[in-house]
Amino acid sequence: MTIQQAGAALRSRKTTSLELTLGCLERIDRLNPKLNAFISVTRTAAEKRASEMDAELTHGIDRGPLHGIPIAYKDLVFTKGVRTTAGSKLYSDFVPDHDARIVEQLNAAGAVSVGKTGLHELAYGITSNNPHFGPVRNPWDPEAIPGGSSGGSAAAVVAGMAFMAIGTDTGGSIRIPAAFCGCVGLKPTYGRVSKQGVFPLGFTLDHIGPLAMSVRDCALTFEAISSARGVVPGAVTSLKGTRIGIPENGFFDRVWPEVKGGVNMLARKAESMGATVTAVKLPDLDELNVVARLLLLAEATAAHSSNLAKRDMFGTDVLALLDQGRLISAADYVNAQRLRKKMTVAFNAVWKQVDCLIVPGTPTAAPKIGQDQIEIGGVADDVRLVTTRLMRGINALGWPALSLPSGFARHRLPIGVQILGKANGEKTILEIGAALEDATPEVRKAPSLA
Amino acid sequence: MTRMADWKKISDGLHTGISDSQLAAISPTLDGLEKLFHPLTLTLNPEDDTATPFAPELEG
Repeated sequence: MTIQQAGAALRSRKTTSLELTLGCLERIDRLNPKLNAFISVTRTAAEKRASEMDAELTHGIDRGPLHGIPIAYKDLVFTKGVRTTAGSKLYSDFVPDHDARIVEQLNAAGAVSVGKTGLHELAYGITSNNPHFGPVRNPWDPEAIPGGSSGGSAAAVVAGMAFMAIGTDTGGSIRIPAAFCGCVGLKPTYGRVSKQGVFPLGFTLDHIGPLAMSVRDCALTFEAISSARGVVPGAVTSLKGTRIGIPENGFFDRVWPEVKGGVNMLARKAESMGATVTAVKLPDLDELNVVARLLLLAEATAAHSSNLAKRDMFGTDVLALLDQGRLISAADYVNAQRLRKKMTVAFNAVWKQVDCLIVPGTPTAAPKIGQDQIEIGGVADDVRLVTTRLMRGINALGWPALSLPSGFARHRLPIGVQILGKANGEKTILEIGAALEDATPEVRKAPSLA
Repeated sequence: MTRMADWKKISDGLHTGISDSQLAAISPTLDGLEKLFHPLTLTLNPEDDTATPFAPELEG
């Protein structure tokens, strides 16, 4: 059930917020031991809050589409009085004395939090194989990673433990788990959603956004946590006049054929709905990724510099990245920012030709937990670099990106595409995403979870 | 062959306390990144600055 469907059921008195919340809590009780999607579950507070939201509706108070809807937060979002670990041993007992801005906004919108979802340690990685809180598992295959760093958020929504979960994205951390788990994820334009009260990773790369089971659910959440209005698509039956670009370089060189097939399938669908689809040439994506990698190494180390002497508090992979960041020079960091600005201008030129780009999400489906290398076209490559290759640079550009399911690959694991738009172009990519979502119901299936 | 000795000099100069074994583990990655990054810096011109706070909506 989507948020929109649940909202309709609430307003027609076919269900209550408490019933929806108890349903999510029952699934958490049953499935979290298997998936480890949640670090903390706030059962008592959720039940109380749901009852309050029901009482408000009874008295004619309606806060909007998220009123009474059970949601969850990635466990690096400050929640007043509720432990917020960032997936780190350093913060295993940290209880914030205030809410993050997005929590204030979602509370004002009437949402009901059921808890805090698991993540890669400090959000610094793509597996969510957390050495301190255990691995989050993929609802489609518990031996596979859910992606990361917002792995718990994706697993939670796909397993029906929450209708929406907030994630963060510094190099793909919303879009990767959305693709690997088969849900929708929105990385808004850089700066459109407040980062206040969220543990930082990359100060100029961090984005905050929703993961949910439909494009429209992501859109209505985006409205609740930003100043954007009028971006929730209605019925989109035609894409006439929409110009869609498919990059002829960079994005298709090293991807599984199933992933490429997913992009082609959606592009053909868009064309059949009236859109024009053209090949476009972009500047060098790998060069942009180099700049984004260097920026993140330096910024993440700066974010955690006060704790770097406590070496036994970090997992091996995160410590290696933090140590790399310590050896980046200040001059290289500044030059990376200069290059970023120059590259952003060059990439932005594409918006004179098209309204959006459709590109692959992750180049492969989800690897197994503990798998370091993955094969593409007979060549094995590093899982982290492969998985972030088509995502990381977009964070440096600050463009909005929608991750949309595009079907299934080998081993019946989900795959996805990204719909990219120009800065502040969320309305466009959400409309195109909703049209394609409506036109391809066959790619949205639920995993069988005993 | 990595630039392990150079990274160690930098690490020692910054008093990071990073062990030799960790430096040996991360050196190949740093070497690779540096090899890709430094040629890009040669494309920078004096007018390429960071003076404007990063704001994508102002670009292009």
